[in-house]
Formats: sequence, C-alpha cells, structure tokens
Amino acid sequence: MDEHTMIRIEHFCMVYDVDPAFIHTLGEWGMVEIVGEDFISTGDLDRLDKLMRLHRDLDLDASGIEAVEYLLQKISAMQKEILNLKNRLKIYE
Amino acid sequence: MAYIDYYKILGVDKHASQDEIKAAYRKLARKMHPDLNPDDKDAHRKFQQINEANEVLGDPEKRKKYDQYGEHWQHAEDIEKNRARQQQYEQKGFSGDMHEGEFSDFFESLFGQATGGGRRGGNVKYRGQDYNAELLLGLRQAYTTHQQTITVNGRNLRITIPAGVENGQTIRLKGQGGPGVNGGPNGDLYITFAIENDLMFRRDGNDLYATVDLDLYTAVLGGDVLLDTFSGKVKLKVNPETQNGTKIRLKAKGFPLYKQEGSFGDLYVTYQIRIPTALTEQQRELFVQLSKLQSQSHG
Repeated sequence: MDEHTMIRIEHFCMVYDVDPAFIHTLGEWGMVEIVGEDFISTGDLDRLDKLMRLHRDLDLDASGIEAVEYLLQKISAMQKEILNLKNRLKIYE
Repeated sequence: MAYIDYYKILGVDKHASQDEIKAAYRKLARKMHPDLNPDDKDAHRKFQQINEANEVLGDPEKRKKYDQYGEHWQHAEDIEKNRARQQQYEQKGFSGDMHEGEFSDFFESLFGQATGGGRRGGNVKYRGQDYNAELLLGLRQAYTTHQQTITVNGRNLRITIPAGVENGQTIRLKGQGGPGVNGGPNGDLYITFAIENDLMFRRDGNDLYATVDLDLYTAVLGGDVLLDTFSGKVKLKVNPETQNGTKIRLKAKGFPLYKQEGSFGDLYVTYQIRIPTALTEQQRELFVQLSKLQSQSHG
C-alpha cells in the first residue's frame, strides 16, 4: 500500500470525534488493520464508518462490535443460502 | 404535520427519568439499528423515529420545551418560526450541510433545522444515508450486459447491468446514496434485482432448463428440431427411438457467468413426446398394423 492510501488515526478520530485508544483496541481485536504505529488504510474507511456507528449509536465496546459483526456475517451467509435455495425452488414453480 | 408522541415512540412514561429514557432508547436502537437490519426499510424508518425521540427526550432542555409546547405545538410554531428564521439568517451558507430529511417536520417546527447538535456534535462529518432500490428484470434482459435508467429519490441514474445477475443479488453503487453531512462522503445505493421467471427457460445458477415438444414421428425416426435460445436459434439433432423425458445437455448454451465474460453455464433440454390426436382412418389403420407387427415380433 502506498502513502496516499493511508490516513492518520489522529485525523480520523478528530473527524469522528472518537478516542484514538478505541481505534487501537479495534486493531488489537483484528477488526481494523493498523499500519505502522498510527495509520489506517482509506480502504477500511467504509468498514470503520459502520463500526463507529455501532459504537456511537448502540454504545458497544470492541467486544460487542466483534460479536455483532460475527453474527451479521453469519446472518448474511444464511440469507445467501436461503436465496440460492429459493432460486432453485423457482425451477419447480 | 402531525403531533409526534416521542414518549410513545420510546415506550416510556411522561415522568420517566433521563436514565430510563436512555435505557429505552438503547433497547430500541439495538433492535432497529440499520446496520443490524440492512435490508429492512421499516426498521430504518423506525430507527429514525427512535433517534429523533432520543434527540428530544434525551436532552433535558429540548425535553422541557417539548413538554411545554408538544401537544400544542401549533402555538409554538409561530414563535419558533421567527426564531428559526433569525437563526437561518445568521447561519446562511451552512444550510446545505444539514441533515436533510433526517428529522421530521414536527421536530424542525419545534427546534428549527437540525444543526448536528446534541450527540452529533460540532463539525463531525457523517456519511450520507444508504439508499436501497429494487429493479425488476426479465430473464432475457439479465442474459445480456445492458444499460438502464432508473429513478432513485427523484434522480435519474443510468446504470450498467452486467450479464448474469441473479435473482435477489444486490449490487452497490458507491457514492450514489444520500449526501454526506458536514462534508462527509455520500452514502451508497444498493440495487437488488428481482428476476422474473421465463415461460420457456428455467434457471438454476448459470444453467438453463427447457422442455421441448417432439412429435411422435421425429422421436421414432429421428430428425432435427430448432430451438430458440437467448443467443439465437440452435438446431438439435434428435436420435431415432428417442424416449419421452430424454434429457440432453448443450454445453455453454446456458446463462452467462456474472462478470466472467465469455463463460456460460449449460442448457439442459428435456424432450416431451406428443402423441398424435384426431387420427384419420388411414392413420389409425397403420397404427393397428404397427401394433400387430409389434405383437408378432414379441410373440
């Protein structure tokens, strides 16, 4: 990744009004990749935006967000499976 | 503009403490949060109501005003309109950055336009709202990459639909959702495709299935049959003595693979043999002869 795709955690936290320690905790939990000591990739911004919403709106800490993320992924996989099965059923309609 | 009972929305008593209001908000927000209900428009709408109720009842000053004017908001409106007008005049140039459509008319009549106060403080940049849309396509349309103009929130968008999209598949158009707040990025537009069944072909993943009628004589003696597929006419060679229900596979004549140009699934054809009806006397006599021959050869 080159320099242009990086953003300082400090800058991100200023924009999102969040404590940098929280971003580092997310990094420790493997939910965001921290590059060097205090950079994140702009490619992670969409995902981080969602994590910030969960943190802010639902008052979730890092472990809560991880649990929600895990369950959402599981639901998404199940929804895909249901959709595939429904599409197969259409053959017999 | 209708009166909105924020206490009812949060399911709390009018004398509820700030802690009780906070707890009620958290409970409902966890249930209705758009990130937890990504495809549920109703949950999204309810979350906005819950959020608005919390903006008012969660802030003692706003709550006081709501309690004071709430049910008789018509009287407050005139007073507040003047105040809001004054504020707008003072803040001219910033109105474009506000939460468009995020708060109800009722909220704005009481508190003026939402300026990102309260929980959403100062100059915090927010990503715009994600929009969801459904697009109905025929199976034949989904077969080829094509462009289509759709209208989302009053805006016309020309989008390219890649060949091979599946029923229920969702694509994301980055930055085509609601505008960002305070210079934040635009939201995204999610389009979910609903693909109608086709009379001739059934689809299973990338494979297509069709049933072709075969007259008795071609089934017995063999011959050619023309099949009209999505990619043109295909000549099928029918073997002599083909049985009813015989299934053949036409390699790479099925549906295109999504975003894999030049790759196609297979087409499966099932023959359905039609027995002749309204026979002439001569035809009937010939069938009798055939029947006798059949009995003799097996006798």
